[in-house]
Amino acid sequence: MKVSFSEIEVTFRKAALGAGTPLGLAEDFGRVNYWLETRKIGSLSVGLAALNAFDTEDSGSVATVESEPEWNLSPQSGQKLSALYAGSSACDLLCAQHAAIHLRKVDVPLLVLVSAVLASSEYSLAIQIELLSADGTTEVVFCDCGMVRADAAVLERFTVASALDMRLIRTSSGQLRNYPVAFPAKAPDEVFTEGATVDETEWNRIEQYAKRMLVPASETSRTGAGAGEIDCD
Amino acid sequence: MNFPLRPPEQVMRLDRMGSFFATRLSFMPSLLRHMAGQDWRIERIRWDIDDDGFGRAVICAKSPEWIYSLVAFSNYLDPKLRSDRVIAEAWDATFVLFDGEPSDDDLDRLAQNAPLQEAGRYLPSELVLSRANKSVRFFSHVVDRLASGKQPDLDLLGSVGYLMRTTAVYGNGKFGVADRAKIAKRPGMSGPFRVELLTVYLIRAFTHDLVEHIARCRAPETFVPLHPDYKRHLGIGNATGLGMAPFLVSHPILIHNWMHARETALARVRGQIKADPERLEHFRYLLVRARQHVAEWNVPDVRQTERITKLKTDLDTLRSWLEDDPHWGTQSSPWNWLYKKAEAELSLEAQEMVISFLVEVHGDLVDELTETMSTEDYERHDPTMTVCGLKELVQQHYAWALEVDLTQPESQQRFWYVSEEKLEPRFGDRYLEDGADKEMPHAIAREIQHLWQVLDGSDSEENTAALLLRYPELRRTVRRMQTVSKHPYAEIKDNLVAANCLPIDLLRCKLSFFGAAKFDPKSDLWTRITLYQGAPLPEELCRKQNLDWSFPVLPQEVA
Repeated sequence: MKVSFSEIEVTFRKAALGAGTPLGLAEDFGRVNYWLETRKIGSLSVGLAALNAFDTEDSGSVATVESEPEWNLSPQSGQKLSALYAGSSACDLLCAQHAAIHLRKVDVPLLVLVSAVLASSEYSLAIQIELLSADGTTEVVFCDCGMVRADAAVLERFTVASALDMRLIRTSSGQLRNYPVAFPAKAPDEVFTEGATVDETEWNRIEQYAKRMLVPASETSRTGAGAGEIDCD
Repeated sequence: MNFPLRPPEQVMRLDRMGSFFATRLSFMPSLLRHMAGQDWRIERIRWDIDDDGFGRAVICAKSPEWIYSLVAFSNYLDPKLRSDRVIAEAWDATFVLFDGEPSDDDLDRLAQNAPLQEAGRYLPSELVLSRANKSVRFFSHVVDRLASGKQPDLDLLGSVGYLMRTTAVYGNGKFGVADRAKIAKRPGMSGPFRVELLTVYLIRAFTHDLVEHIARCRAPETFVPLHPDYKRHLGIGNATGLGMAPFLVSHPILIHNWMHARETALARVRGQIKADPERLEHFRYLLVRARQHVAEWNVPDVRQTERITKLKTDLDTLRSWLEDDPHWGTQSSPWNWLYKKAEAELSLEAQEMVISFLVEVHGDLVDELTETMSTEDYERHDPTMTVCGLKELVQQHYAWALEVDLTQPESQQRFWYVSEEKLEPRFGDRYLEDGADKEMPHAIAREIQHLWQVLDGSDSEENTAALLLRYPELRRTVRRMQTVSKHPYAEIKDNLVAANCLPIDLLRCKLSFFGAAKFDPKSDLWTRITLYQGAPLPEELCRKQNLDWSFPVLPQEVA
């Protein structure tokens, strides 16, 4: 089915609220998913995975914070760190002049990457993002003032990764010019002519989260809608 | 001369916002000025409507670069199903604004979806979705009169003012229609709600054509068309409920831009040292017309009737000032003198109407401000700001919120929420109704007081990033406050969940920016209005005629 990008942003925001995330983080989550869809990366399943993990308490908010020698944000024992919290928090800390942030066991690393892209655009930053695999390998992507600089194969690793550690490091744009631009800062105009094609089942599941914030109708509630007896003539 | 803007503490109050009138910066007049200036043409390219007025039609608005087509479906509506409520499921007419000219396949697809409105699905080729119901009694009257060779009764025309009223106009990606980003950079479409209000303008043209078509089919030998003066006075009605109110809270930067443009326009006019004779004459002419407009503004609502009565008296007072001192316009800074006198001596409604006059007669000075009234920006926060800095912002911009006594039950008696019925926003009583746990974030004073408590207990050198790590629930409040610090007209400085909050004030404010007239409150929660009353007809737009249409008045009676 076709949906608009504003529907994607709004519905993910409401879904995050429905899953129990504070509004400010839910707003961020909506923007992250808008970015993903306008760049045609992944699908609704990426954001939906984060919602499901948080809702089932497979993932949780930041439980432990260490600030020395570098900032470490960790989930509760036995949980993953929800991208709903991790991306926004890490980017805040980077913006506030902290050099590097270590995120433990991030459930959906791609969402943190997009948070960093948006932060790099909003605050004119260059951010190096490392995806740290259990086998000791490290994949690196750069967010450079709203652009994503990386090889396609590396980005692919981010789209399938789960429950991995990440490091976000402030860097400088000048050092990144030789890296290929995977995504420019601006969404291509044609996406707004085409709209987003989404999986209807996944869309319905996201809407189910959003509907948790709706209040069932009652006769009393209808009086609060404002209609009088003379609503037509 | 640079004149200071009125402070947000004066402007962003519900009682004043609920007294606004349209100005020439409002979205409808600015759209029509653009269309006239760019030689837009309105053409009916399809009219498959039967003798009873049912079928489909397409009316195109052609700009030099783009074509926008109103696709209209007129259907029989069981009278039992006719309702202006958003929860209605059938309407007299449904509409889509199509980007370009629709093919037969497009029309067939839209015929399956548009009559369903929210229950249908749409594509990025569609820009706006809307529906309207007839003002049944008046619509029938006009058909009867035109069919018998007569014009409609003038009193009835004045008391209703439209043939149909819209009950919803959806754009910006709703139900799958195109995102605003698709059209925001097109000439004429960058302003707020431009594409939605273009749709309403074309719906008005459709209603004029429809009523004449039915009358002509009924009695082709005796039929007469609507006289242009009568037709021009027929706008489009609109029933507006709470759906509009949360918008003013959830789009702070946009609201700032609207208010800032309006206040800048006023400041520019007040800063004029001299007044040209032409402007003075225009002002006097407007005052005469507005007095008649207000005399024709009759509503059943007791509160609004009292306000209209006071407004009439105030306009008489204003006239007496001008007559008592015929040379008032020759003094230094005459417009500022007039504004200050109005502010000191007249009601809020009269003060705001004076602003509409002042802005109206200074088009050359203010029209470019319409370019500043949209935004592609969104709220951001500054993670580097210290707790000390945040406290300063609270004190500077939210002193009013700290003064709200939250221990008093009435200070939080109401709550805003979204009903599962068609996602309709509602205004509940916290102590009588369920759902407060799902309330919309409109209890700004409560959120600010919570933030203040946290800040008070925090290290003053801690930065926002670390603070929000500890208190993620404050993220939105901090972001909003930091946004407001840069956009001072972004926040309404009243408690929107207080027992005495009147949502109708929010509706009036927003609708005035649309350019609405004849506010006709039906309760504290919803109002009827008239859109495009007095506006140039499509053929007049092409000829650049009747572009001065603020405060429309009834035409002279036609035999």
